[in-house]
Amino acid sequence: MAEVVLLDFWGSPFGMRARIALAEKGVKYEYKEEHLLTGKKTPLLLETNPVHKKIPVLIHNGKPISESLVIVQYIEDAWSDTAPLLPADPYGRSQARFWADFVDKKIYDQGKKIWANKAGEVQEAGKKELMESLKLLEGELGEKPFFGGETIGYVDVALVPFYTWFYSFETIGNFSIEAECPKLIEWVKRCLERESVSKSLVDPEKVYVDLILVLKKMYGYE
Amino acid sequence: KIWTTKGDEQKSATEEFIGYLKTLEAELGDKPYFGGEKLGYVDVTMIPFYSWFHAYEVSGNFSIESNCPKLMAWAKRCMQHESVSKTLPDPKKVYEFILQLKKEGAPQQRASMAEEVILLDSWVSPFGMRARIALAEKGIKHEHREEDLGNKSDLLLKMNSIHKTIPVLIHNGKPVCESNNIVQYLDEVWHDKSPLLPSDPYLKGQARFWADFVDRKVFDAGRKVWVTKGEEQKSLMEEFIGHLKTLEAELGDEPYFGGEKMGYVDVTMVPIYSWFHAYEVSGNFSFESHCPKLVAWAKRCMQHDSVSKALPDPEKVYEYVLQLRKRLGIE
Repeated sequence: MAEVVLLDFWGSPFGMRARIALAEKGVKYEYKEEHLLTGKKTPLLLETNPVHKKIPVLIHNGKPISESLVIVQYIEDAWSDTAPLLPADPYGRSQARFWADFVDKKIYDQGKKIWANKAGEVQEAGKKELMESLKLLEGELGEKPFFGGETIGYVDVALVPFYTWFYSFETIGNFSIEAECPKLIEWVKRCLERESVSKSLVDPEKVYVDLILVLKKMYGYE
Repeated sequence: KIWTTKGDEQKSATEEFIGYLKTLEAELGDKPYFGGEKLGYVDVTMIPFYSWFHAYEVSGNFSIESNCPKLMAWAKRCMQHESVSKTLPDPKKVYEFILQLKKEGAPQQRASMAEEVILLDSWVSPFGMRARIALAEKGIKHEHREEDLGNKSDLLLKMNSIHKTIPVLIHNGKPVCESNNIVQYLDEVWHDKSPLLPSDPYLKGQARFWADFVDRKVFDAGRKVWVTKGEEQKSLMEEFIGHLKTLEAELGDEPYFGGEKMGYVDVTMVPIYSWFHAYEVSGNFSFESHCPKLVAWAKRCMQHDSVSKALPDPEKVYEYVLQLRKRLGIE
């Protein structure tokens, strides 16, 4: 096995977090695709993440780490001499962790209310909640180019992958995120100027056609 | 005098200050401004101090709003004028400035200016208990403030405006929210006393993984048990026990999750032990029969003062749960 292996799924925002962090640090790794849409999980995944059986899993010298934010923090600690994603001062770090945790608590579930439902109460609630969360994040960004300040940091890595799912939310929910959070979309474009991000994120339209619509059919969310 | 003193001297300075504000409030009466219908000489003289109110409140640990609501209403009215809002600086920056001044102050002042650590908490919260244990493990002097969650303080709503929950650690006026975040922050700032996270990146990653498991699986299932009944509750209890067994397997033969000493995962997990009695009585079973090693681990942790003093009396927790279920109309 290669020194660094990433078990991942192409459309997962959580997997994209690990991809960006590894790229920022210039770490060479072997990418292994888990074909989640087939419903089958590989023995390697079940062995390396027996507790949750989910991707991403980072395997470094044979030792596995799971949970995307735990993985990003591990990458930060293990390759600490390049491109720091967290500030040095404890207070700044606690703020970054707070906002990454906020992203984790809100964005995926709120987005799911939109894509996994037909037009109606639940979907409307999801739209309202998602916009509230994105506005709070936009407020936290303020006038900074990135959440991490002058360069991308932990919160940028935690949030930007969800951009690939925005097109799906907007199409299914029939609304525009850009219209209400223009500064956030400017931030996304700024992130995409970095290779670590542009090479780790997938095409939003592909996510819509090959993932979201497929999931909707698979689970009967129509 | 409020921000340059401590203890009794500060207390009487605060009372004196509030007294003067009340005098002004009486003078204002029912007028929108001291100048009558418009801003006048007295308004202009007084309103700048509004930008320092936050600094006074944090230093003196009191709320101006609760003492002089009409004066605060007047101040906000003035702030609607651009002439005022563009002149007054950000109150948070003023507070930081004061902290700087205190640091550079006279040797006597410097000596008396200890680290200011406040914990906004609730006695029954396992999340709050985590912060309590970490503070005790590191011997950090702090002020503990009990919040009435049915009537949250202005300070709590200000310091955790996003989630409005406890615990909140306020360190020299700056808030840190989310219990695991607080524990990590304390571990980083007071890193030389009783380190909770290992320094090796892989072991640190493992500790973070298990702390995340405790939060998203154990505590989540445990919490849902109380807001359900019948079959739903039964299956949640089974799920909860399943997660405890997973943790028990992870513990293995080590005395603590942190190895030879208590660490991050121990601090994250042990608070739920104070709720075990409530679960056992409600569900009519015994944890000891399902996960004896985990119960033994919890008792081992309870031998530490930092833990035994942080966890409430299990009987009181049970009474609390009964009240909660009554209030929610479940029982």
